[in-house]
Amino acid sequence: MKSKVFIYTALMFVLIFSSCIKTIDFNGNVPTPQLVMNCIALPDSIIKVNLTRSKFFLSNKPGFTTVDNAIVIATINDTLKANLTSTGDGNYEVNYKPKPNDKIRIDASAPTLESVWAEVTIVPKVTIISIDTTWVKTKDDNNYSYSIYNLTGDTIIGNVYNIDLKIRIKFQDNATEQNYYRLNAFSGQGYYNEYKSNYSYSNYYWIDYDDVVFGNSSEQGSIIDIGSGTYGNNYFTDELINGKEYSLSIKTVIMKSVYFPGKAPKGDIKTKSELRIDLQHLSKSFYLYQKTKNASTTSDPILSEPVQIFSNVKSGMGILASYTSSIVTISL
Amino acid sequence: MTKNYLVCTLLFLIPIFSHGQNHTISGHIIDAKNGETLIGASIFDANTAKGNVSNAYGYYSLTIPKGKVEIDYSYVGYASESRKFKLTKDTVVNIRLNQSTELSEVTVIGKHKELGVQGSQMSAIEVPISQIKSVPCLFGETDVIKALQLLPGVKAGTEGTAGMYVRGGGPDENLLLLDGVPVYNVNHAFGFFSVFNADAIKNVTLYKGSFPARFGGRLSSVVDIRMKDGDDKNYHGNITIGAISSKINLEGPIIKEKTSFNFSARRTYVDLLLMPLVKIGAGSEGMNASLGVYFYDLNAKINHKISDKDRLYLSAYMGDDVLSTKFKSDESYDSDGSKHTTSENVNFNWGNIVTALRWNHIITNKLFMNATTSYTRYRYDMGIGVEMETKGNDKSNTDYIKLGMKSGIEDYTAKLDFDYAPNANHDIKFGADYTFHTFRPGVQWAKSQTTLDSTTLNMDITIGDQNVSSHETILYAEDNITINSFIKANVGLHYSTFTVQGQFYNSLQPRLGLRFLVNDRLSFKAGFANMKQYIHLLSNSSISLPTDLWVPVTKRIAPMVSNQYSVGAFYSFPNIVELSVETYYKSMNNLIEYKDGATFMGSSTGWEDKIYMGRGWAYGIEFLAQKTIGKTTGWVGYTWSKSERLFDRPGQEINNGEAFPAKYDRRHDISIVVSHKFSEKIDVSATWVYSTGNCATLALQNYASTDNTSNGYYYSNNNLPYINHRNNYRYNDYNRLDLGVNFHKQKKHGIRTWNFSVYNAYNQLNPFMVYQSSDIYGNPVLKQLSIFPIIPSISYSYKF
Repeated sequence: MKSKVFIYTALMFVLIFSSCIKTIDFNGNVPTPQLVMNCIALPDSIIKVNLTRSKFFLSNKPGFTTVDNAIVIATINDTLKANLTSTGDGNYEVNYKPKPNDKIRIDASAPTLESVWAEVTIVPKVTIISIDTTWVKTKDDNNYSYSIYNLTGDTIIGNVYNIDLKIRIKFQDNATEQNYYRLNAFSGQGYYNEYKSNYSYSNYYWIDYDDVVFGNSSEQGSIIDIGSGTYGNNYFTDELINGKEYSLSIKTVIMKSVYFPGKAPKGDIKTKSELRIDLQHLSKSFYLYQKTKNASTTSDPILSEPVQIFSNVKSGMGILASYTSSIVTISL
Repeated sequence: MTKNYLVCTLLFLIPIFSHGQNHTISGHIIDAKNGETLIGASIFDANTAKGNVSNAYGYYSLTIPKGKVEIDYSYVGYASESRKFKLTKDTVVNIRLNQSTELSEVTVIGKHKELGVQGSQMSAIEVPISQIKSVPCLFGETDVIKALQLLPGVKAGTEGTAGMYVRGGGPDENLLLLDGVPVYNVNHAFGFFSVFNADAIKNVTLYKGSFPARFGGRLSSVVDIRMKDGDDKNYHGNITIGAISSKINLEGPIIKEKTSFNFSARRTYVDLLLMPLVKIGAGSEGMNASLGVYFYDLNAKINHKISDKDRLYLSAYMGDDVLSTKFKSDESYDSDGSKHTTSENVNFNWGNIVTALRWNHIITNKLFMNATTSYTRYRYDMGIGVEMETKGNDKSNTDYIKLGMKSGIEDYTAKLDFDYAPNANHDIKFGADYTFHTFRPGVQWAKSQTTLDSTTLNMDITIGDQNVSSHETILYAEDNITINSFIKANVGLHYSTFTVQGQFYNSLQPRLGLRFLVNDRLSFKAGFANMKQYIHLLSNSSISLPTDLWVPVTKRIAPMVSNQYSVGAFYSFPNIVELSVETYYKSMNNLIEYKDGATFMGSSTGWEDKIYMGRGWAYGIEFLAQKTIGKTTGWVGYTWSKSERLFDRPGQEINNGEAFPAKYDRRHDISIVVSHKFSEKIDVSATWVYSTGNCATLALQNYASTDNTSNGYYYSNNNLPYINHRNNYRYNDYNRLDLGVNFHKQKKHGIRTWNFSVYNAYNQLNPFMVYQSSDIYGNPVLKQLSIFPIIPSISYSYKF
């Protein structure tokens, strides 16, 4: 490996003789700090807002300065106004739990900083009509992943197989508006925790969000990127399914223990596999914020234009967004 | 209404076809020494004050009233010739002009040039190849494109690269023609050198606006490069040994004054210089290595004079870049005696092939025809692989994994062009063109072979293997009309169609150029050009990568279109300097830009989903003072310009739907190019450039993100970059001085020349890229990468 580094270094040296990297002064105007407002308004949860100050990108001060002396006002459906109270660390809250279709506006002002505001409508829940699963062993019966031995370790009592699991989640899209969604699917194998009296999940299975609604991620269609996964690609819009009852398809590969007849252990070995589906209905602001935030993290710093992260906070930064969850859990 | 059109048409046609008592003087204008045809040479009759210019094949035709004529033939850098005679019939006069040898001699420049004060063409610049050769260049490598980048209205992209941004356009909006055939990728070595070998070139003309109707297919510029035909009398040659490359040029008659050839070749040899280092480096780690990093060009042209009326030309260009490495480990042995070797290799090739066969035929002394068939192809091919070989007493196998990509574009073209000069007031060009394009979108493949317990597993995957074909047809007609001694107009129409995957596009593009001659020294001009472009270049880097891929328009992605208006004033100090000032406004629509964060890596799969469509506009003013004759030649250019983009279509917003500066929007560009010939033994040249810094997108602030989690919490200390605007930051201004000196000496069989040049003579560390980084303490800092400090170079050439 060292030799390759040497060769490529030598190559570059000859091609461009001696490139030079130096630290330079910033030659533009240093921007004034702005108020950063972050709030995810969830139905049936009180409204919590966090305020911080932005900082110059060359600042070496760690973290962000919280803003605790701001006046923060929530306006619900253009009429009801409520002051949010500071709870420290830049956090503010008001004891109001938004309901679906509530229009929430948050205004914040703080000394020396420009006032900001943002608005969001609480999106209603989307109902999961049904979840269907189908599975097949990935290989023939003899091609198992590994064997299960008895407690003394001298006898094989079963095998663990890889299972291709296909999941179809049926839901109804609302035709009257443009809708944004995120599907969080979780699949794992849990072991019973005696102390907590619940199952702790230690084996998580990779979920492949390959339905057409998830669109083309930048990795798709490229052999070079095989294996790079579909991180951040579980967001979708109703562009292709507007107003339809639609079955979303996802898939995963799980491991399943199959014991030989009469060989299943008796006693307190407790495991179970579970599939949890969380279909979230997102506000447009949440969708754009998350998509651009993910793209900003994953984009190539040299080959692509830097990503402008979406913000709906006027005269400031941050996000006021909303989503609602519909969760269904099934045992596998 | 129809009647009015008919009357107007007849009024227009009557002067074209009225003959009266006119006769035609026609012929070829060629270099007396080597027989090269002279393009754009001036023919002017002093008695009637009528004139014309020779076409791309050196042919001219001038129809004037019978009687005494006094014809001046002139061409820049050549001594003019006069012919006085009584014109009583159609007459053929072939002229051989001699190159001006006296340094003090002031050569007459044409009174009827197509460009400059007298011509109707504006926004076009012809740069003598001798001038291009004298411009000091990076590593001493003469470069046509780099020389053109020094002209007003043309911006270079990133330092050192061959990208051209003409009047606010993109790098894919330039039509680069080599002997009339498009070259799709003009870059060698990632754009640090261009494919045009100056030794093989006769003439370079750049059109930035007011495009004649014979050109089309790109929005922003046409670079018309003509290759040398070859000396038809004597054999000549030129050998150059430079810092990174060597080249050879040979020309001469195959059949004296009937058939000639010109051949040029160039190859870089960085790999040969590096090979010992590579061997030593690899050997120290128990490996064998081989390396190939080079590019080469071959230019060849043969022309054959069949008769006085017929001539054939066959020209070809071939060039490739090669980047290949191979590492092979020494043998290792297992306990059972089996032997293992591992080898890794990378192969990357890209290049063009351009060929054209032309037939010139003089149908009548007023009508000249050129028929062309041509082929052009660009392709790249990339592969990487690892191979593991095992040889044992009872087993032997080779496992491997290989990945690759390949892509390209290929055109077959048939073309007919006519020059018709019915009388001295009309110079008509018309023609038709058909091109069959084959776009080869990125094909990616993967192959592997693995041996496990005597079982061999094979994988063979290919993605994206569908060629896309399209048909493009062009019809054009233009007339260079002399309305009176003051007003001259170039009026034209360019009609094109493009059919791809069942989708049909067509467009009628009007062109207009007007010249108002105040006196022999001063003229004002105005121009308009509507242009349409049916192909896009997928590229996402500031340097030109060979994986940049041409794709056709689709049902979703419409053709790009532009309208450019320009006005200018031209002033000539005869035989001293030509001055011009031009201002322009260009609007562009259906431009494409990548979405934020989207990248393109050689595959056209899903490219429509990665781009947005929008519009743009550019305006500016350009000053040029050009001196092409005498001891001191060169030019001073200045450009003030602005170029912006707006992507505000619903769902396709970039920069929140607000206007932003285009990638290479720069306010000021100055270039000074000077060459001075002290004597036959010494000449010097210098180039100084200054420009506003390039713009880039920097996140100037950071802010706290909100991490949505299931417990509804909302604050995180994670940094998010805040970009208020695309292209919101300007690099430091750019400036650079290049110097060159040539020492010539007459030897027994020719002239030897030592060239010493210095690129970036005062070692200005100009920004190539600016980015955020951190210092040794972890504090954020801004860093600048500069890649070209002072670079001296030396070359030796021998001309015989």
